[in-house]
Amino acid sequence: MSSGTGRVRACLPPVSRPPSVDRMTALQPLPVECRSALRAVVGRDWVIVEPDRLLAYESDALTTLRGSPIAAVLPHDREQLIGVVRVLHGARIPYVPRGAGTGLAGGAVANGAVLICTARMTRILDVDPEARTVLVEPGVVTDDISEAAAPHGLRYLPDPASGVACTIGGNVAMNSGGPHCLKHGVTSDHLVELEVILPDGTPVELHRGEDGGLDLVGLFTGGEGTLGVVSRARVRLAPVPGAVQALLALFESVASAGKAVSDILAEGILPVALEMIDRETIAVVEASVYSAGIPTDMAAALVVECEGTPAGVLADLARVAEVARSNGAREVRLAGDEEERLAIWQARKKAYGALGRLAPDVLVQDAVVPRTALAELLQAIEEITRRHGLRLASFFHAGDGNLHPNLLFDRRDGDQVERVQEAGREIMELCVATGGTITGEHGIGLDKIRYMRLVFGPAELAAQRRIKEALDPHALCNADKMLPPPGHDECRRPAIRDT
Amino acid sequence: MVDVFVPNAAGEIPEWIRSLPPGVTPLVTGADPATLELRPGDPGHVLSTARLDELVELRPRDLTITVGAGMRVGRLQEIARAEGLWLAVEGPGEQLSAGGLVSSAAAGSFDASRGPLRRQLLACCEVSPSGDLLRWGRPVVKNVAGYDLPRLMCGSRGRLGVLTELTFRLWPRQPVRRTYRLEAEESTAHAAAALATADAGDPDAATWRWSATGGEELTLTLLGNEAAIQSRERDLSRWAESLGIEVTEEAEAEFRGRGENGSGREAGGGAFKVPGRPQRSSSSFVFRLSTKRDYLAAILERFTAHLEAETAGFEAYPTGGVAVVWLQGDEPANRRAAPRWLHSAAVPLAVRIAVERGGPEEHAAVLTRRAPGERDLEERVVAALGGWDRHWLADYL
Repeated sequence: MSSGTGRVRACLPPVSRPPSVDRMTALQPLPVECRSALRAVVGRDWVIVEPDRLLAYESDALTTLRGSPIAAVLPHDREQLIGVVRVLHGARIPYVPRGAGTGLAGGAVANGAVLICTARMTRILDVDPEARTVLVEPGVVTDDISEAAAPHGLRYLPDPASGVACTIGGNVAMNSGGPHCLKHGVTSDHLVELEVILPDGTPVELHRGEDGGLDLVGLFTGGEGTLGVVSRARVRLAPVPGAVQALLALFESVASAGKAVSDILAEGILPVALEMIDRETIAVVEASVYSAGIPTDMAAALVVECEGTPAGVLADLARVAEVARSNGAREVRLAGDEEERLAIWQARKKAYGALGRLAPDVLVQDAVVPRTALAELLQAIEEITRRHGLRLASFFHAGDGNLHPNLLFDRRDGDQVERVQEAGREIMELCVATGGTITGEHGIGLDKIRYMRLVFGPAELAAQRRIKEALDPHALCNADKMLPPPGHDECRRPAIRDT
Repeated sequence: MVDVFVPNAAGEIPEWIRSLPPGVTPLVTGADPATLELRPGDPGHVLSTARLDELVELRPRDLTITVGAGMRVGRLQEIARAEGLWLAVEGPGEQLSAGGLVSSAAAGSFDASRGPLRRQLLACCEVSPSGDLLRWGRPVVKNVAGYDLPRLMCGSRGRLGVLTELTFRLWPRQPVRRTYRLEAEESTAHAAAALATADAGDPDAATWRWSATGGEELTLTLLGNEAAIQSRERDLSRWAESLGIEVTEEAEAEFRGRGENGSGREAGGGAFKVPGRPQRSSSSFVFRLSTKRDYLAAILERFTAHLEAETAGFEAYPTGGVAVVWLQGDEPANRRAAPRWLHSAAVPLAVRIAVERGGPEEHAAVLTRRAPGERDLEERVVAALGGWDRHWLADYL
């Protein structure tokens, strides 16, 4: 793909776009009349077209996938958002919705398209403690919802790891999860209604089929912004529990830890979180400021958290400890107080950042497998990475079977990049072969398009394309994401750009 | 002459669908066709999934079960119970087939604490209206690959095709399950209303029932370990005492016997004082009301002021903001009056109404409240999936 401007070397894949998008050739500058129209809607300062300022918008948190937007537009409210979408629709210019850019699938990469950033739409419009709901704009940071609800003894349950930065609009687009969705469910389970701006700029309120219609909220959630842009979301709140307590169980074998996961759930215990950290991750975390005092000769650590009444939580965790010991746990630690609980979580939540000590780049996988396959799969994944001469660090939502094997590499080493891609493919195929899926919470974006055929046949893909075409006939709204284009049965993974 | 097709396997369905005359929408049911009571105006082509009732796969340690769409939900629960598991569906949906349960997205008393049906359905297979065999979702508990078609199937009322196989999330049975009956001198409606707004310790399930012949009852269910239950029970008692309500623990066997096998219990029948769920019958129809938790309180108050002969029963799940109303449909006057009454009670309170059992006429009547934008969007999605153009409702499912 030629750069057009020579400013950067475009390296996104040669994924063909529908014809209407091809008319707006990648990296063509934003037409002057369109720029003026956008400025009239949002104000001069909030239409960014300068190449140096656009560098910050080239990727989401998956920084190995980059593309060059032709502009970034930052509406401040619903009316401006509608106006922006109408201008772009009228000019047939493709666009990509973006929240805080914390996604891990390249879903907010806008190569040759306009980025619509909803990060300025940060108003909490209505907290309704009686109905236990809150109405928010899409740019509200996820953790801020719980903060707003806290004075009423309420909280928002989904807790993506990037909760301090990610926004509800992005959460809706990707149907975000997090450590606590084992009991509480993912974003879609906590949405009451949405307002979305359709690709032609029409606002429409969506509900959950309570009137006998279809669950259109469910359809849009996890749609990766390919069907429209979220302008408002009403989400459900839940009471803050009386007690929350965590336990750390340390194992000398991954297989024992994996079996303990299934046994805990089989006991009828329902932790809110059940996370696993592997040996490599323990080592790197313990060498960092986030050390939780875990012996580095341990093969795996489980973090188990329960909530409820104080007596009930202690009884549940006592039973969890028994199950862990019966599966060979060498040590079980119950957090004595809130400080210790947070320290246990630091080891899990800061693991990703700590990986930077091991390698400059990380390829994060997000497959989900049946829980009973966990132990066997973890060993098989280790074998794959060893065979490719790579380093692996895993920490993941074991209770959900949601694996995050992190392949460590250096993008400057072309051969290593090839091996990472090959290992990633093998891991994904292995997970799907057990009955699993290719993504549990990060989404498809650009990153996993090539794997869609592992979980969908031609007829299922065609049906999904028809939905997309029915709502976005001009293929303007994040049109190159999630669904492989027709005729591309062997989509290639986007190339990693050498920056 | 009605064309009734009862396939033995999903693979037989595409050919039958492709053989339908153009423009014909079949009636798809999970019921035994011999029990169907077709109404004038019903389609002349009927497909029953009753024989697709096999257990396809049970993975107890993965907490999933895959069954044919014709399996009765009661049977599914029996299979799960033998493994110490359960499908978190307790309510009118227990009377349906698995396919009917999904098609109607029937509400239940555990929706607020365990999530509604759309959270329990992980994957499904269907034959589309164009005769394609499609598989949506995977048998794992998290999955965000592609559009969430399993959620779209929940409540689609058969418009998107014939469901043939379903994979559900199962939950481990917790060590203790305890149910309490709340009784007051006059009515427990105010307690049910207060439950929707006040902090009564958030029970795992709450159900307020009223029937024309059996009176009323309010029951709360707690799940957990013994220590947790005892502590929550104390909170519950304190809350009830403040409302002047007496709390009695209900024997578990007594409680389980009522709803779990999906048979329901005759109103006021047997040795139990509490009313049961009205039986399915072709002469009654059912509305589901959904609203904000706190608005349900007002609905309950209005309802108790309107308890009239045409109402066969009322079942509300106060913590979920949902109520189900059974109306006697054998009186033509009631059929006409019911939507009017529901609207007068519901519209000022932003209640959304769905027909769970009834005919296309009732359905059309309640859909008139829908915003045009959403209605148009739904039609575009249905058309994109080649969907059928009429709703065949849960009384056939």
